[in-house]
Order: sequence, then structure tokens, then C-alpha cells
Amino acid sequence: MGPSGCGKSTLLRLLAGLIAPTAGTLSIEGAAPGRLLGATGYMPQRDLLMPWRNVLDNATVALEFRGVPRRQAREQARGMLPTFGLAGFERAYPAELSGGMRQRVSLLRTVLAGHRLLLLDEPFGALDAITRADLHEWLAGLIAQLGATVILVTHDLEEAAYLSDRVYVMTSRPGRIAATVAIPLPRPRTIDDTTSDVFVRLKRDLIAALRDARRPSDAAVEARA
Amino acid sequence: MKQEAQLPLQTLSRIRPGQDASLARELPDPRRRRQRAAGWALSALIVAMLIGCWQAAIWIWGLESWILPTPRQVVEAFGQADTRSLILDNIGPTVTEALTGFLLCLVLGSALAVAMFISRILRDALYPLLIASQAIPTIAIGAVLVAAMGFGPGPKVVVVVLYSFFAVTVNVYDSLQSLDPELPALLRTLGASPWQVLRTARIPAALPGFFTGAKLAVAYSVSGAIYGEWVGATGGLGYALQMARNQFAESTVLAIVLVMAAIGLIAFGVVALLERLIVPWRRHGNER
Repeated sequence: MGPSGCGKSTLLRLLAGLIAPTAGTLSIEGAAPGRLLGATGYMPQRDLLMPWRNVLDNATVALEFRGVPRRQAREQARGMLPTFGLAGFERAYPAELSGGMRQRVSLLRTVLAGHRLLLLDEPFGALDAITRADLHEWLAGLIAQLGATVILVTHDLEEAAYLSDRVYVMTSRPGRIAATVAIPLPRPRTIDDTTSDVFVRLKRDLIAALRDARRPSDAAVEARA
Repeated sequence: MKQEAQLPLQTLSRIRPGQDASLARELPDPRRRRQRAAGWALSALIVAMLIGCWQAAIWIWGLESWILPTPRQVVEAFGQADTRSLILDNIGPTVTEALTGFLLCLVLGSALAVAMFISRILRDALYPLLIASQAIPTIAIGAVLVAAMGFGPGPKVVVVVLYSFFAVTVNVYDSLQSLDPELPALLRTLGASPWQVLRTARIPAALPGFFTGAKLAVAYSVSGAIYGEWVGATGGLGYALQMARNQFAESTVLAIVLVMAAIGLIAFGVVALLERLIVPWRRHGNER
């Protein structure tokens, strides 16, 4: 987490191999540095679904790039549609779907790429609160089943505290990690946990860390505004 | 790509997110069909009103038939053997020229758009030239071309291409530009090669613009061919039009004009049909 412009998304784009670091090296699971493109499952903020492809063909695009036969790729995706709440929508086009469904198609596309490290950039940022709460619960279960490691960028306190094992708070200019907050809540978590005393205290810690992370000048500017 | 050990994807079950599907469904089909029927009816009404005005003008100002024939006389012209053979003999060259020019303009128009999209320098160099080419009246060019290339179909095809490529270029270029630059980047992270990005993202994204351009160009192509024939030809509907005019056979002139309009409509219909087949996603969501 971190204030807008602190470089959260930049970090994910670096890890996804979309941009090269100006200094230093990045390496995932001991692989040669600089070979990151296509080594992680990156899900950008916007769903970026292709309007000319239906749900199934959007979801299977990574399998298609890898040369998996179409029938086999579709079979694999079709098996996962119920999990993603998309059963019966395999032939629907993105324009026919709600925002929450589009986001889930986008996630399915990322998951089907088959990487163990998922980079999710504010995946539910554009959704309404209720839809988002539903998806949080669902995503927590999904990640547990996948056994994947997820780096999630968010500026939603609740999202961070509910989904994470550890929250890194970033500062802006320069983008540094200012604080690390461990979330010791047991899993599986439910939406009821978000009103527990422990959860509320964790949120308070996060708020404090975020306040500290802002430079005094930024805080002053915002106070005046 | 070695570290991508397969995940136990098939083991996923149970968890289902909330059902939020119902809101974004399409308009129901019967309603859309009724809209379309209303459109056709309105179209017919407009044509009927135009014919009514035409007939009324003849009555009010007492126009002679060599100035403006009545709608009835035009319809009757189709029944006359000499008008019919004049049209049938001359329809072939016009259609051939228009079609050849149309196909060439699709190739040339798309190629220019791609060139302008790939290279900034080419775009800066070509854009003013393309605009200038559109400001030149085609008739003027046609006269020069006939003088240089003779009375054959060559100059007509050139006129058609000049007249219609611009619509293709502008629309293809626009739709190439409109592709979200994040999408190619995302596809790269999903393992796409540059060629796969081109095939899965850039070409499909350009297709709607291609068809918008093609629908405009196909109508321009028919009138372009006739312009070309107007300047100097030994056959074709433009030539037939001149012949009929010289004989003051005004009802034949208007009959030929109707045939031209019909060719344009049919050609447009064919392109629109191809669009529906090739760009089916356009119907989903965009059409309201």
C-alpha cells in the first residue's frame, strides 16, 4: 500500500518485466535476472479484455500463445468458469458483462497463464463496495486453493488487511518501503473477521503507518486543500 | 518459462463470487427487431415523400417531360427495350471498374494507414499530401488521366482509387491508434511474441475501422467509376448517362441514376453483411 504516485504500480510493472529497472537487478525464484517478461501472472488495474473475443477466448489467450491446442485450452478454461462465477457466460462478449464479471475474466486469464507468482494491481479498484467485499472473500479462497503467491497493490485498507499475510507500506518520492505490518489473522478468514477487535487494531496500525509514510510536506499540502 | 509449474487448476471448486450478471444484458431481440422494422418503414416513407414532391413540382410548375419526367415515365423507361439494353450493355464496365478500384483502394488505404501508424515521419510526411489529394476535384484529374491513359478502364480505376482510398486510410489509422497501448504490454506478459500481438490485438482492433472505411469507400467507388466514365469512355453507365442526355431522354437519364443508386446500395449491403460476419463483436454492446 502507499499514497498515489509512490510507485506501487511501477513496482509491479518492473516485476512483470514490462519496464527495466534503471539500477539494480530483479530475479524471481533464482532465475536469471532480466528474464521476467512472461514469468509472472500480471493483472493490470483495468481488465483490458479484448472486445472481439468472448469470455472463453479472452481467458485462454495465454494458453493459445503457448501453443496449447484450442480444444484443450477451452476445456481447461471451461472447467474453471463455475469457480469464477462465469458458468453459462463462456460465449458472452465483454460488453455484455458487469464490471465485477469482467474483472473475474481478467483474473481467470492471468491464472490460466499458470504462474505461481501473481501480481494484482488494484484488481477491484473500480468496483462498488458490496461487489468488492464479495470478491475479497472469494479471492482469499481462490488463492488458498491455487497455492499461489500474490503481490497485491491496493490503497484500500480493508482489502490489504483482509487479504494479506504482510503489508508493506510505501512512501512516495523516493518510493521506498517505510513499514512492514504483519497480519497474523488465521485462515480461512471470513467477512465477519473484518469487524473483530484484532482486525480493527490492525487497521489502526496500517493507518498510522500510512500517515508516517507521507512526507510532512505532502500532509501540509493536503491539509491546506 | 521453466518455473511455471502447473497449478492444480482443476481442483478448484465450491467458491463462487456473487451473481452480478443480470444488469448488463443486451436489449431483448424482439425490441431490436421492431426498431429495425420502424427504420425500414421510415425509409420507405421518406422515399414516398420525395416522389410526392417530385410529382407535385411537375403539376405546380407544369414542367415538360423533357425537363423533368414524371415518376411514372421513369418507371416506364425501364420497360422500353432500348433503355433496358442501354443499361444492361453498360452496367458491366462500371461494376468492374468500381470493384477493381474498390479492392485496390482497400489495399492502398490500409497500407498507407499502417505505414503512418508505424512511422511518425511517414505520418508527418503523408498526412498533408493525403488531405491535399482530397481537395482536388476528381473530374479534373480524370480529364488528365484520360488524356494520358486513353479511353480504357485504366483511368476509371485510378479515379475510383483516388476518390475512395482516403476513407479507408483515415478509419484504419484511427482504429489502429485507438488500441489501448496497455493491451500489447499485457499480452507480452502472457507470453505473446510480437507477431502474436499483431495477430491477436492489432489486426482485430483495426477491423471495425477497416469496415467503416470500406462501407464509405464502396459507395464512393460507384460514383468514382461514373465520374471516370463521364470524362471520356466508350462504355459504362457514365457513358450511357451522357448518351441519354445528349438525346434529351430525361426519363432514361433518371432510370440510369436509379440503377446507380441500386448498385451502391447492393454493394454497401454486401460489405455490411461481411462486416457482420467478420466483426460480430460490434453488434454486441455497441448497438443500442
